[in-house]
Amino acid sequence: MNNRLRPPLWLSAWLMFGVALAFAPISPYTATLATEVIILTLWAVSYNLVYGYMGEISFGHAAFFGVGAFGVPLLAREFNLPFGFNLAGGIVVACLFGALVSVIIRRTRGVYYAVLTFVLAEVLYVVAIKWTNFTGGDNGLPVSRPGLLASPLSYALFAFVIVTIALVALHRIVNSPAGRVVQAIHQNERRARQIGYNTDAYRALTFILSGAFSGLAGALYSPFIQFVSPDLLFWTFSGQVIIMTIIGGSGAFYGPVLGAAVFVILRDFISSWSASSAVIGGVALAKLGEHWPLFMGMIFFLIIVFEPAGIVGIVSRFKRTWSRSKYRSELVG
Amino acid sequence: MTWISLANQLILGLSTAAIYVLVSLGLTMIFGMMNVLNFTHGVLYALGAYFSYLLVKLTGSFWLALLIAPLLVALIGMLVEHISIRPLADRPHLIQFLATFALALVIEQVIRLVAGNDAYAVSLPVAFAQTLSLGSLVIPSYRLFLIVAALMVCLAIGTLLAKTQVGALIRATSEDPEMAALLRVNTRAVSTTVFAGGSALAALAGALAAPVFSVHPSMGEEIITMAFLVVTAGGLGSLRGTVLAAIILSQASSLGLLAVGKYSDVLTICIMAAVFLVWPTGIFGRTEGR
Amino acid sequence: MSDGEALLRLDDVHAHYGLSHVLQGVSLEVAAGAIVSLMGRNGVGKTTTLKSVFGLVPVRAGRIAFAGESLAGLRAYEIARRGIAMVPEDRRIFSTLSVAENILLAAGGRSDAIAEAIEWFPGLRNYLRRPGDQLSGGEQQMLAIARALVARPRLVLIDEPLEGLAPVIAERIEQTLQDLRGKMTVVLVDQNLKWLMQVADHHYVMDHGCVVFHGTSDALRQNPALIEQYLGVAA
Repeated sequence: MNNRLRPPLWLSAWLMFGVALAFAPISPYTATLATEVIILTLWAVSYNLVYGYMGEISFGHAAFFGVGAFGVPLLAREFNLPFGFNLAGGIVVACLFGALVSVIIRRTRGVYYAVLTFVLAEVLYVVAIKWTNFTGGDNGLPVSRPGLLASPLSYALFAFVIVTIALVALHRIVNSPAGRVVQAIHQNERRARQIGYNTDAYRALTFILSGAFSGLAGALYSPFIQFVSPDLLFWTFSGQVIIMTIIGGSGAFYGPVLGAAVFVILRDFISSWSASSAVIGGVALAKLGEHWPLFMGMIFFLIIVFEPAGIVGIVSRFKRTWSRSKYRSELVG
Repeated sequence: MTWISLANQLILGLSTAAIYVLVSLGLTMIFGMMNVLNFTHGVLYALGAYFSYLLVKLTGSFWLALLIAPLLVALIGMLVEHISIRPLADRPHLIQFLATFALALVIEQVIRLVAGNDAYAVSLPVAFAQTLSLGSLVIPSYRLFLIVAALMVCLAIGTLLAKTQVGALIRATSEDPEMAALLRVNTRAVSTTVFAGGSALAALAGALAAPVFSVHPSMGEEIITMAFLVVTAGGLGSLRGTVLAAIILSQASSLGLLAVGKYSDVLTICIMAAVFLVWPTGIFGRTEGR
Repeated sequence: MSDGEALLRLDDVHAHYGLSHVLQGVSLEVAAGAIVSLMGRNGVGKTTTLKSVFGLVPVRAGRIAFAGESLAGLRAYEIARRGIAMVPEDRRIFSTLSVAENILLAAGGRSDAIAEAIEWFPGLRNYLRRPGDQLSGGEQQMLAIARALVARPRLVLIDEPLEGLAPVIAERIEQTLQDLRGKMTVVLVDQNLKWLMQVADHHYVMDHGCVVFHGTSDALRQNPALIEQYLGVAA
């Protein structure tokens, strides 16, 4: 049980990361990488509300991300509001979309939940692809960001601040009484209903919240890469957040934070092989570098089979063997 | 819109439905048996296409490719089942689903690594290379062949399931694997067989689709999207639901082309979404997910 | 009874359903050719004991041996193939299979299986083609028992065969089970004490996941207090 005044360990580490970002001398490239980690962290933690806390697989979360991402340039184009409003607008649209979807899926559970979210996201994708006038179709839309945030480092810090606030909010939410109800529903929905909770409503709320914060992540993302295309809505992108969340570990709040970081860093590391001229086992490293999803998929597979609790689980194991060996050495003296 | 163009689209739609049916039947049977939605089904379809391309190059015979590619992929399917589902037998089915997703990712990347990102062409078999003229209706005969082939496979599967001992084994094990085991049925072998059979069907679909859709690495992704739509709209585990949903999906697309032109995709996906609104677990689906 | 005679032997078997410690050291022996009953109130673990023989519930401790050989680590179908059959409480007739198909499946495709089943229950002849989900309770029960018997097992475990059946059908089934005497070894679970004492040689009374008494019908009759305490009804 954490002392109310002392922030959780992950938050301290996260804040130190922010401090390093602000004051350490880093290249624009590193700042860009850091921004991506920050934004995807928010997405993964939001996703985990549905996966880890509520216990369902959503294969359509790219839709929320994409809606938020599209919201920024579209709102800018239609209403000519300042940047902050466009960000907020992205969240609002994501909320509305989430509300609509949650009505449709309110009775679904398990594999049907996964496929239905898949299908509904697919609807959005197809609409986005075809509605070229609105969304730019296959070509996508350019997204601008205010001059104040033009440099990679400034946008990184901006994203960091926003995401930190969001993470604290999310942490509060999952540890609130309502959050505990959702976890109870995950354990045993029938019993929760018997006690008197409206489980459909709690689940819908969780989904919408998760969607809203995912939308925020998306709204931060499109000005970051200064571009948005319907690819962000495709289910393979949903797959990415699932991978991040599970590799990191869905059992702890900070698991997806680790997962997002590992995902981005690993992807970047493997992709950098494309510049190399080394050859391993007859295969050019450069060629392997183009296929980072291969390694990501293998790691994902190994995690699922051998350490389903992800990195969080591996860390727990270490802690246990460490404390056990400490105990043993104390006994022996 | 004339009767001719309507009939043309109808038949084209049915030929696409044929491919969807072949892929989705295996998927829904595997779900019915093991309660797992096999994500690798898409890449197995792609492998069927790639193997058939290779076999046609090696042997010059499309028919030989049609025979051997599914057998090869059946073996790969058994390998997939062995490493992704069996070791996770006592874990929730959704975890097994994710494991197949991971494998699908890996296999697709291997395909890209080995065969590159380009598309390969497979020419139509000589027997069906021409078009058929029925009055003023002109249809590629290969499309008709696809429809007939799918019909024959459906009939074969239907007969197998309804009339044979093996079929009874499959139906019983799908319904109540524990009771089947109590009756001395080797349920693991039955499951693996269904998985292999489903994989072979996917590969057959891929091999048949190759001359029409070309052989390219994202074909797995594209087909799994359709296959998921079809099996869930039809009702997971229901064979006739799969056939019905495949026809609805492909006809919505092909007839939609006549109706709304380039927005046929939107129409199709909206029709499918409407189906889910009415039947959240599919047209012939069970009310509660198993 | 020495180990050599017992066809089925459970030694201090512990089993769990999730967190609940359902079997807390069950020990029993079934001699070859005997009809043995398992008695007790609802929830004491009778069905779980039967299921544990097939490994359908995880056995944490103890030993289960059939014909002297341990069943540990074997899969359910492998155990069934050793010659043990089960007629479960809810019958579990395959609804998408016809009566004939149910029988053939159980007999491994043996062509004379249906004739054999009809010998046990002549009534089956009338609805061989009917799908499993269109059978009445009694018909299902007869089919379930026939299914178990056509596998020609050495041991049959039967769980509540008379539950919810009309008296006429129940009588028919009682008769058939009585005819099993000498032909195969049976473990019977049921609520009808009078019938059990009549048909079975040896009785095991269970309470809270373990055996509290075992003995012959006479021994049981001489102990009305026990019957009252663990079986809840006057004999």
